[in-house]
Amino acid sequence: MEKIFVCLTADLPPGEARRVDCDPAVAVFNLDGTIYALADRCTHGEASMSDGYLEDDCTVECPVHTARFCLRTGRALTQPATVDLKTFEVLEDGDSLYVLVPTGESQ
Amino acid sequence: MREQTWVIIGGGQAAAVAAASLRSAGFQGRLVLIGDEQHLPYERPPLSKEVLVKPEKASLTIHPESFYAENAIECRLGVAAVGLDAEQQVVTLADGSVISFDRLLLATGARARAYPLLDHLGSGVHTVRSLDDAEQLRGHIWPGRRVLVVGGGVIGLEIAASAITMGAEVTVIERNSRLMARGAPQALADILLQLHRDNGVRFVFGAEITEAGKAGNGEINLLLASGETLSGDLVVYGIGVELNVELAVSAGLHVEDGIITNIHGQTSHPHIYAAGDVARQWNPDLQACVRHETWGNAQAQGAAVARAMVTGEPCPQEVPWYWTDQYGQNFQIAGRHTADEWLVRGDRATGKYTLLGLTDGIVTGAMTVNNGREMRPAKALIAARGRIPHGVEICNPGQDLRKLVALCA
Repeated sequence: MEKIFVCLTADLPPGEARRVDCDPAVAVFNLDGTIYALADRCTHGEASMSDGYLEDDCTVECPVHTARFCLRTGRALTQPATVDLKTFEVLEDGDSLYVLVPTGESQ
Repeated sequence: MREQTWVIIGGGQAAAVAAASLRSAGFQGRLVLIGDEQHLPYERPPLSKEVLVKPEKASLTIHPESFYAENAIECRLGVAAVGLDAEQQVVTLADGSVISFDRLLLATGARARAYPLLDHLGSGVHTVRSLDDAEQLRGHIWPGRRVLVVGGGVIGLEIAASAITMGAEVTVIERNSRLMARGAPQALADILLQLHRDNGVRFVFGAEITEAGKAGNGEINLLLASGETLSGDLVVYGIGVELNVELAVSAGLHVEDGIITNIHGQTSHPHIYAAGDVARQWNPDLQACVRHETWGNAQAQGAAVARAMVTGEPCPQEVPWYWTDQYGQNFQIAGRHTADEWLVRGDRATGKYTLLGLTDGIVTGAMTVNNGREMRPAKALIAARGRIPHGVEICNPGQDLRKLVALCA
């Protein structure tokens, strides 16, 4: 596992998202104080999930074709996506947020 | 009590979404979905894009096959509904079988508008409406092929972009003086024209095809009213649709550029509903019946009418919205296509920005270029008939549009 810095915890307020340019890119979300991390690229098309819309029911909607995914499990919930997003572990260390990305992970 | 039978005619987006929504809204009776294609309901947007360019990556199914069994949705596929008796509440299928229904949803959609002048050429002439159409077309495009695309609308342009990506030489032939005359702001038409030209597409505008012929070697020649002749190896045309309203007409339903429905999706017969491309639903905001030929409408209206069938609730009104993907770029359009002025939010040079259309000071339309994240707040602004107050820097991309919207509503 590689521990990759996301941002200062204070820089990701509720309702916000961050994209981490690792390989593969990771989208990190703050939904009402809980932090989630998913693969950033939509499984359906060329879209960055960190640009997506956070919903109160713990889902995120793709900004390009409106597929919805579960923040907790990455599960594809609506068309046009049928493939789940990968999820990543989030670590809060001091005043900073990190994601744990398996080493050797590639597209 | 006798078990109710509800029937959906149609095997597209609206039909599939409606079937799922009838179940999630609580309908527990017998549910039958009748589709004239052999395939389970599938997504049509990829037909002009992924299915042509990277078919191995195209994912089309709306619900997995198991979904239909799990939800007790009886699929009658590959068989068309050929008769509808509204008084007796009976549907007749092409194989002679009859199904009595308590409620019926017509989601029969549309087919590619025919172009007899081209159709008479036979092979070498294509349209793209179904999966079978797209798979057939794919086998005819390869590097160096000369593709004549007739029609500069969304379908024509997406096919042009796909064919270029596949190495073909492409000419787009458009009767109007501009692209997407029916369905997009001029600003988008200009952007797309430039994008296609940069990728090597040739355009002929104001083109009236007067004759179409095929040489012995299969070469297709289109003679234009201007005297010019365009030659190619194949023709693909996309000149709009014809609505599949025949059943509705034969049943005596009110049909006028689509099947007329009220805000519950109900046709002129109280037990027959309609949704999707084929339906023209009452919109109280516009005080008119409106029809949309978009994925977004099929999806939203299919779900809404299904819920209305179960609960009796009116359908919520959505801001009209669609997208098109060309050369890996994403364009989204919402609301009205004409406006007094278009404000640019963001830097056009970055290729990622939003245009907001203002009419009488109210945001009536929006367009995002590779900037889908701003579409939903833009749609909210249109729905709220937002007026931008003094001091709100709506064009400052440093300010989050989602937050600015709250100030404008």
